[in-house]
Amino acid sequence: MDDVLVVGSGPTGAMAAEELVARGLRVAMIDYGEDDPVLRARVPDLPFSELRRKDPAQRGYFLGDQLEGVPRSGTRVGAQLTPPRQFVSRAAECLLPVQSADFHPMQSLALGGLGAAWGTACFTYSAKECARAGLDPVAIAASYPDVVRGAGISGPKQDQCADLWWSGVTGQLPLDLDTNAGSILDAYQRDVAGWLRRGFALGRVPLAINSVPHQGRDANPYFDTDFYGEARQSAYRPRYTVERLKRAANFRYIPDCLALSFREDAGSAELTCLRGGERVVFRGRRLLLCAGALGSARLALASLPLADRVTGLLCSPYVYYPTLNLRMLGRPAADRRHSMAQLMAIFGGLETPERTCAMQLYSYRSLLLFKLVKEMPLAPWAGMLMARAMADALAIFGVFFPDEAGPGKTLRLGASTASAAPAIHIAYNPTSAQAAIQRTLEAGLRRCFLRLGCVPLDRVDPGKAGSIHYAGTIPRKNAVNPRFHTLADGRLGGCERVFVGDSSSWNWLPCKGPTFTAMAAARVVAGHIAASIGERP
Amino acid sequence: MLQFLKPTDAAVELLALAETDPKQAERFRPLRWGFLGNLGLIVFSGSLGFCHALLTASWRRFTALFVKRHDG
Repeated sequence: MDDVLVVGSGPTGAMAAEELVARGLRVAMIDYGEDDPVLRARVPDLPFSELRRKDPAQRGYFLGDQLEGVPRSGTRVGAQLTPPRQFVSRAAECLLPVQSADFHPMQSLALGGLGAAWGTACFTYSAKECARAGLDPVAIAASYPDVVRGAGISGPKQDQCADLWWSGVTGQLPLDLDTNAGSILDAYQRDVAGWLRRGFALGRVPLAINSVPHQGRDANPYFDTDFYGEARQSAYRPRYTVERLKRAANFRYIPDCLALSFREDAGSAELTCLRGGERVVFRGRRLLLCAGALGSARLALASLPLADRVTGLLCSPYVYYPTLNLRMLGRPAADRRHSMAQLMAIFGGLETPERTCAMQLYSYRSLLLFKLVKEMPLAPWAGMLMARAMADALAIFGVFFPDEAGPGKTLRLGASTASAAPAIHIAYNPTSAQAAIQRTLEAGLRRCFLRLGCVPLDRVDPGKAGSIHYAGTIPRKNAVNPRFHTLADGRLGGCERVFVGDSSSWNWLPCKGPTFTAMAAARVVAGHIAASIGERP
Repeated sequence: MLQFLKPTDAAVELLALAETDPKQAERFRPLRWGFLGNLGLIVFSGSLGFCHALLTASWRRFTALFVKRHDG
């Protein structure tokens, strides 16, 4: 019997497993593990601009063999995934049914989970934010450096981020900015005090991307192909941790398993999975759920003897603003760049995290122009001409808002005819007060964009689940279903041997992306598990 | 409201195929004509392209009125 069964190989599962293995426990990772190494390997290790000019095989990885990279309908969650990353949600769309009028989340059964397509932006949470989310601020702060070591993170210096989103942690040297982001940061830095008075802080964004070689992975080559290939593995993916762990004697990876339910007995936890059409059972002294906020809740709701199989749900509201950076209009932008977020900003009451929003700035270069033309109410020839004129000057601000629990945000378990896993029925309706705060923040933001010289061209709302930041389905305090909750050490309420290691256990979701802190929290829970069964030397 | 002026799926697919053809790469390179040059291009393509799209979409809707439907 294994010491710990870890369900899921995403960012939290990988980090928790690494911690448990390092503490000498026997760990089995139970995972579905979908992957697409063939398509990934087809992306040459060359600069984007060179591929575009020379590679006759580019259509295969830019558009997909069945043109699956050409979006056919309106904006939807996951539409931004490039063909080499579309495996991330493929199996989940069939096997993890969701029913909702307007909340269409992205789920994953991939090796690496949603982390296989993670944007790699990393943020530390303040003590106030941790406490509000129900996390132990001291334990989380102590765990951050382990995540930095495990994932390899290039972080800004403290004065490059106003100490608001990267505090008390030292990473690798920051990555170079591209021309577009550099011009915006220059404009900001001319009057930093004035901007801070307006409640707007802009700076460098910490990324889980190597600026120097780390743990067998190379530094980012600035080829601008990070949305497509992984030739040098510079951007962190949980798969790398799993591959490394496979070499440890006390770790085994068990793929092709769809976890269905669990139960406890006197000496163990038992996990039932569907594997190759048959039900198989795994036993461990402890069970750690890291299947993501929706996956862990689905599993726990299906397994516990609850009178009502319903719970709450958190999801950061998200919109994005394509803007035209006038400083870059008609000016050449350097080809040497990485594709991920270039800058980070916080706007609102900088000391009141409930009334702030977070922005990540992307430049639009390595995504093909036809995707822009598709959204323009123009004849295609004119749309393409306009896209070519704007390409170097486009700055996309993705804006995230905090989310708090409420009676209008529920997830209920239901029967499924399409899959062995039960369906979940989601209703997600923010209160009018929350919507009003968001409207006020957005109005202020648009003024900030203009002051920075970035003219908003549109406001795109990809739908209620668009942020792909989900949490709060098994929180510490559950107002929707008080019996369905987690304890301070991550243990599932009413259980002795089952723990929750992902963002399911959070009471509140800050505007800053949760992945980095969720990885730190998973390591903390792994520590509690190790303590509960006694560490081995 | 402007949704019906956006390019059809077929037109977008044609553009995508052309954009990933290295022989046509020149047609899709960013244009760098200085601030006023690019601003002029945006104004030109925006105004003329909007009119073109409006006429095309209106003509498509008009002709659709005279197409006999075969519902089986």
